[in-house]
Amino acid sequence: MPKRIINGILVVDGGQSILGLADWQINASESAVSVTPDDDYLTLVPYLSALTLIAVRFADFNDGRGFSVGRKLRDAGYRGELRATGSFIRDQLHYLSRCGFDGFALEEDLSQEDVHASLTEFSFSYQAPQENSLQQFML
Amino acid sequence: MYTYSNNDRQLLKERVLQFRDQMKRYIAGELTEEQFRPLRLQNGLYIQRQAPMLRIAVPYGLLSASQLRKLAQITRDYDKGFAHVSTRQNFQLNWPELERVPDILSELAEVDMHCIQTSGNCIRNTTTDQFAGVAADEVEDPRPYCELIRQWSTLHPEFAYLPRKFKIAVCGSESDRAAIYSHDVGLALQKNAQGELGVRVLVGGGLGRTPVIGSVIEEWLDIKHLITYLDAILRVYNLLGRRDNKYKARIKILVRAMGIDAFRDAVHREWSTLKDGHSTLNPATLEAARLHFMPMAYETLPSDTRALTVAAEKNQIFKRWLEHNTHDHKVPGYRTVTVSLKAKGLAPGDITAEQLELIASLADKYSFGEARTTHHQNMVLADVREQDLPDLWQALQHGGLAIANVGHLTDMICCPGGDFCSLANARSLPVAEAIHDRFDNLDFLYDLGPIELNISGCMNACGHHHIGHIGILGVDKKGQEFFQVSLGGKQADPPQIGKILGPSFSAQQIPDIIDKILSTYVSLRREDEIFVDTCHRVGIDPFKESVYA
Repeated sequence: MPKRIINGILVVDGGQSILGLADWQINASESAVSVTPDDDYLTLVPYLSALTLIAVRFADFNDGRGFSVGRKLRDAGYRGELRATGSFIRDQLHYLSRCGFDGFALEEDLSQEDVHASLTEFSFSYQAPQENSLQQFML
Repeated sequence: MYTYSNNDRQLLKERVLQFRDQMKRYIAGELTEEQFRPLRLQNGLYIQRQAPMLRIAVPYGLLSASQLRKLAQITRDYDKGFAHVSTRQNFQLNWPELERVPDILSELAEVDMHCIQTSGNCIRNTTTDQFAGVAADEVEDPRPYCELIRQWSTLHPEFAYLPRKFKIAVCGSESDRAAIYSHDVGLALQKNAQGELGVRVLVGGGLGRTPVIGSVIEEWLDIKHLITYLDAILRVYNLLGRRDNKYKARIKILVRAMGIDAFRDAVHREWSTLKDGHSTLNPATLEAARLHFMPMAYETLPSDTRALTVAAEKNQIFKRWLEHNTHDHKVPGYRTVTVSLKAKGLAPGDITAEQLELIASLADKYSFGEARTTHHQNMVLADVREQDLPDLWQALQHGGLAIANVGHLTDMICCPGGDFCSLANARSLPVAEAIHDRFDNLDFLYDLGPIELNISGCMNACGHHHIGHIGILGVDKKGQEFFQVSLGGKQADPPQIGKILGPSFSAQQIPDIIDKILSTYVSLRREDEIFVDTCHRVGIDPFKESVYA
């Protein structure tokens, strides 16, 4: 069974299908949508408060656009689940979470211990986290 | 210099643990070659021709004596007893064992050093003027801002998988010694009429196979916006930079494709969501950063150089060194010393464990315990009392570190080339050596005046050949190595890309070709006109005629 992570906890994925942006635009009452960095994902901005799940698809783990996409959606005020899907790797979980991702659809077979270890690799970060806190310069 | 906080140290420890685990998983086959690649690169680890290469970060080129001693010990314990200073002011080890790299990282962390982001498609080590804080022509010491950029860019979660590498250089003086026009982002600190600090921001410069001089994106940016503005530039690049072709993936290609005005508009749109936000530099942060780089505890010394003049008259070798390898300091009674790593018989930028230790002890004795690396692949002792110069010189001379060629033909920039690097088309080191052998008469070099000769073993241009007064580029033609020569390149004032002289030469021909170029210059120069100025005045044709005659 495919697994996913939500708020740091490994769960079995129900296999719920999520509409792509084009289909969602036809049926904007759905509360879940999947986007890629090639999509015009900022068209979601007026609907962010009504959405409960935005999935951002990574076509290749070296394609870092999704990190910025996540960050922009969070900066625009999105508070629902932000889920990474596709070809990211375990070693990116920490950075992804710091870009605002709190859900991860896994292609790798990870244990809860792996997930916890990866998400908590660093106890400190220089960059400003979400929610208007200050950049943490160590001076 | 910046002193690490507990958080900085904790981060390094965690980074070592992270990489140790990644290496273990790679060796166990749990990480594929492709997955491991960006992880090892962002810890400075290349898989090279002979052995792995490990690049150690030296943030903006500043080191303590204890860090130098640690490096010396590491080169002995894990390598062949020497290291190499790169054009990005970093150190490289050419022979570490793959499996021992986590141990090296752990040893480095003991002295607050690391290899974070010294390679890979991320924000690399920020570089600056090797005379930062001591140069007479300085507007503002760039190091506090380099440190802020270091902290901002270190493990930045959004920008670790960029289209390609990203290099930032900062300069705080009138004369640009940091090659800011050749960087993805170049920052020039400046003050306005009210004495307020701002930054002139350049974007899209770079060397490599498509050399481009950076364009001005912001004539004046208030210093408080530095980080949010960089975030905006990086985000636009991360989202829009090309990922389909690695040779067209640098920001210079994006800036050129969009045009600087459209690129600026895109940055401003992004910046409008970040400006005045949480990464804005408030006065307290700026002040705290500056406090880490306060002037040294200089003595009040008489500006009396008589003793020095007497010493120089007694010893011609010392006199030459004093003239060519030491520089004006903004504090009376002090001078800045360049330690030349360009002695005959050693690859440019190479330094032995013993020499590292010697520089460490000389730094402790004569220069407040600090030393610097330069993008010209030398080292610097920045704050030496004039009265100590004869003793310092003697010690350097004894250690093979006092060849008085700084700023002259044999003070070459040269990449490791085909002897070490798997990207190279040609072996650059033997060419450097042949030039050194041919032109080893210092009086002849002094008569020629300042000349920057830069050699790259391939078009990736790590040896900065485009901006050398004389540039040499190794090329591969049907499995044979040849060298293309360009003239008239300049890193600044104003920056210029050299012009290619014509068809390329074999390695053996190069010393003769350089000789012809220099003779042409000598016959054409006007009084006191330096080589590169003659190149620009007369154009490339007279050189072509003499070389291809």
